Amino acid sequence: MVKENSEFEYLKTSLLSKEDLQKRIEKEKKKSFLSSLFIIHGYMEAILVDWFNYCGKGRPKEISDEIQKGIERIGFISFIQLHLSMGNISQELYARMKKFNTTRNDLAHGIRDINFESKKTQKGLGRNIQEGIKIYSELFDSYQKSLDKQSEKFLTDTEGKPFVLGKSKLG
Amino acid sequence: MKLLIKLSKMREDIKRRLRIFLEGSKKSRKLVKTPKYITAYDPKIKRRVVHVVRNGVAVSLVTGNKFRYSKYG
Repeated sequence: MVKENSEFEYLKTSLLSKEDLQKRIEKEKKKSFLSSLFIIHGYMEAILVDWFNYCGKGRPKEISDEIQKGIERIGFISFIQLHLSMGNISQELYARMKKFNTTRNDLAHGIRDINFESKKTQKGLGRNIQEGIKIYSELFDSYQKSLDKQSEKFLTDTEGKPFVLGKSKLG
Repeated sequence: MKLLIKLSKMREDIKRRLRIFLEGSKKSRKLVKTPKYITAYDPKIKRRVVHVVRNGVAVSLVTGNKFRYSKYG
């Protein structure tokens, strides 16, 4: 039975798709190379965390908030290692993501004076951004595959038949 | 008996008017291309998760919780 939409506040948004990222980066690139690099990293991390819900047998309903928060606190490198061990990402993608993360960490936490106005730095950052977008698109494709697999589980019973809807309050 | 019929008709009319007020009339509503997946709040686990949209219904990929997903913008 479908629950009434009015009972809960459903904020519906689309996924963090490749196209969304590219559009956002194109805008952000004009302002700052560095922030666009961080945005890509954030998108990757968001997908890596969310992916745990849909791979394998799926997330059990009984997981407590404490466990969920613990999962979200796992570092980026540990996340990609876990996904590699589960077979979600390839060895090659793992290596590329690790390299991307090292560059990002260097820029975010490293104590060094970087001249962002020099063309050489801008070129290097631009290359890293392009690489990041490529990595993200590959990551998103494999993420969507596991979403497709998971959605089959929930849609097999009702495939071809309309969903049984609960009686609306409006009739 | 007549009064009952009249009352039920009135009830139907109020329902129709209320629906138009909340969702808009059929003419004013515009069909929007529905995405295959959306992220929405799942009340069972109190968390935003991915939902698959099929036949105007969004199904949570974690708990299987369903809700109506409007095709209109």
